[in-house]
Amino acid sequence: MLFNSIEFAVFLPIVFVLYWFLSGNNLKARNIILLVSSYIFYGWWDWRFLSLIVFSSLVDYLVGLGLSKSDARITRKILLLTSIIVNIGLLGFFKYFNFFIDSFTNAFTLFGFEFNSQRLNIILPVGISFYTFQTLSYSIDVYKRKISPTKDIVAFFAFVSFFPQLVAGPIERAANLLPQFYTKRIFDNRKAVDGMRQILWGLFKKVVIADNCANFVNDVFANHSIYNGSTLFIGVIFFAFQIYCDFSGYSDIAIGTSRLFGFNLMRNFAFPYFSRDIAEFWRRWHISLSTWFRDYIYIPIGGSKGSAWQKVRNVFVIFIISGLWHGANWTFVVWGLLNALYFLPLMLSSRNRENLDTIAKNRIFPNFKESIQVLSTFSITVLAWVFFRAKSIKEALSYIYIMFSSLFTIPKSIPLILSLLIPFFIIVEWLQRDKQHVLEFDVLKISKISRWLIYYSLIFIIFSFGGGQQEFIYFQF
Amino acid sequence: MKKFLINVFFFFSLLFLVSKLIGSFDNIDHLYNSNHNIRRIRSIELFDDLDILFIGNSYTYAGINPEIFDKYGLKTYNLGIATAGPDFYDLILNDYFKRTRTKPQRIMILLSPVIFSNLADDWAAYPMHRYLKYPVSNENIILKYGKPGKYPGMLTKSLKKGFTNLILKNKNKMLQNFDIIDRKGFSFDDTVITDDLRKKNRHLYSSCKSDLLDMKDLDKLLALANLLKHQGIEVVFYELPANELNTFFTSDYLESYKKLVNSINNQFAVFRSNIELEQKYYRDLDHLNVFGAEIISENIISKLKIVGGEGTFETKQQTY
Repeated sequence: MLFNSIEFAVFLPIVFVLYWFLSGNNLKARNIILLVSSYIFYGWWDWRFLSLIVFSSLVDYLVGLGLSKSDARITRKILLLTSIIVNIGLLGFFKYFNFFIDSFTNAFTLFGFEFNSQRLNIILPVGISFYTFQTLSYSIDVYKRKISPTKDIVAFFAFVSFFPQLVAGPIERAANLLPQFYTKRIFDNRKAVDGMRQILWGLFKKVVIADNCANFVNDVFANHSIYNGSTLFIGVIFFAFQIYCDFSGYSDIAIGTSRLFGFNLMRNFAFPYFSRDIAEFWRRWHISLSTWFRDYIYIPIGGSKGSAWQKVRNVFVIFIISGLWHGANWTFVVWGLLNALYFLPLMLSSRNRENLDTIAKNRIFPNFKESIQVLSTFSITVLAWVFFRAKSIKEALSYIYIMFSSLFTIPKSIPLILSLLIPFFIIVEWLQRDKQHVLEFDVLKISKISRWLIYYSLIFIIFSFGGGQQEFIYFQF
Repeated sequence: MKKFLINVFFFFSLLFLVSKLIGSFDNIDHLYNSNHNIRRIRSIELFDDLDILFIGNSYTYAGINPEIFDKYGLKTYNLGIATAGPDFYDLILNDYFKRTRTKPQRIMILLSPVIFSNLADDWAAYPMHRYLKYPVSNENIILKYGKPGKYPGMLTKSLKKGFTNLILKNKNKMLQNFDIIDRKGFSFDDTVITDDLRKKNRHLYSSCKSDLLDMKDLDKLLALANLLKHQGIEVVFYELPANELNTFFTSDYLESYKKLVNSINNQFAVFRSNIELEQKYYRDLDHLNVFGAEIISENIISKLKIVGGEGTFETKQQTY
């Protein structure tokens, strides 16, 4: 079930009513409603996927219980390994089996060996990369005694499958989300209204900006050999906006929806295209995944400590894994490698934590230096997006070659809607860059009529200029 | 909670009412809108007392040329409407009968895999029901033909169009596309397909692979055909060459389609064009160009037993 679908528009109010009115203020009943709703939401794609999420939840629930009963180091390690093998095994099989088979076959063929491999016809279950990481973080945190294991099976299963963030995050930590399932939830009008606003802005980003960009981008990438460099340049810039608005739009809707049910999810995007260097970009882009990798891989393997060689190795490891997480294709590995290369000079010169606060704080305009920094960070990010979007490395290289070889030409016409809405979008994001989301504002400063006019205008734009329903890009990851 | 629910209720009620109000102006441009589908539908009265009325989708308006029939003294009109399927057929024919005095001798109805697919009867993209002489509301369309999932799209389209009509007031765009009337509904296009054109619209059919043919559509078509038959109108179904169209559907879908055509053929004549046309007779992936239309139109005429205005299909339940 897509957030931008008629089914979800019917589903959400029904769950809302059941949750707040028919549960009799009973915590257990509310968790059961959330669990059942989440399974309906997920099963809407393919009910067979449900078996995987139930299995994954059950394994980690039992691992948690096992860890609570055992102090023996070996037993605890075995339990943790069980969780890791099951979760990574599921992910590896469903997402990477054919990729590794193909890569091995190609490698053998390259050295002149004949190798007959058998590809499997595997369907990638939606959101598997997200919920396996979420359950895995629970087992690791319990193992490290950062959190206490839960005995409440309904709460745990509801935590793993919580429908707003189930298929594309934010990837929640058990320490943040799980306790909220134990706590009695009271309806908070301000929180719910703010949630509705965040949903609205998320829909605007997804349906208007991302989907309209997608129409242009799909055409340009599919037929890049017949377009000139300037068109390809605009195509990849639009892709930068498409992927940002698609994914952060989803996160906004997820966070907003959670707030309607009294939950607080972690922030996933913090206006990343206003970053002054690539380190800041990675602190602002897909925050829940970046911090997951930081906490569970980067820091355990040494992080930024140790020799220069170790630092370099750790950075490459984390970015290559991050690339592979996004998809079973070498293009994602190159995308990760490029980002590692961008990041390394900053880390080796200890300048990776220079820009921690909001850009141009308390000012309307950035200064010259900040503008150059933002533009250059955006440019190198855009270059890496070519690999992220292309179907193969060959296609990406061909795209880049054509782009630079005929950059100063007249591009194909840009849809008017995009030429108007992208600048509008950048301006409002800039003006609200110190907020959690663009529609977060002080209700005392803006009259109700003005607020409603803003909402109606956005709804009108969404319905009138939506780019046609397209799936969220991150579902494929 | 109470405050929240009241606010949400008022917010969405007001939104709905305003949308309906603005949306009601969606068809005030019916006199000057230059869309060829609208022009074709708005010109129905001019084509009374026909020998043959052709009903179908874009394949029809691209592939049947009434001027060829004129040469043989046959009065025809091409009422092909983009994306038309069984529901559109029903709606368009109802409107036709309300607006003409003499029934056509025969009505030829297009059969194609695409008219039973999810691409057919796209009320939201082509809101022809709003441009009829007696417009039908979006709500009545949903009540009569079902598919409530299409309602938000239809409402949005009406809102957008109503808004544009009120703001832009583009009344100076007077009476364009009137060659459609001169050509009796035929859409003249002499483009010959190229590799780029072949690539261009491929994505439009991506959803066809997951299509399942709904046999209820067969009942709808047969009910419509029988109704026409009871009114003394000869009903003939026809297929047109559609280049690469079949490659977009699964073999199961095409098999079901074949069975459906056979079922129709048990009761009504089906004209099957078995001509293999070269690529130069197509303008894109699935539409004939003017040269292809000429061949097919001549082919249909040759199947008529007598030409010269009195031609008839000799026996029913016959495959041509």
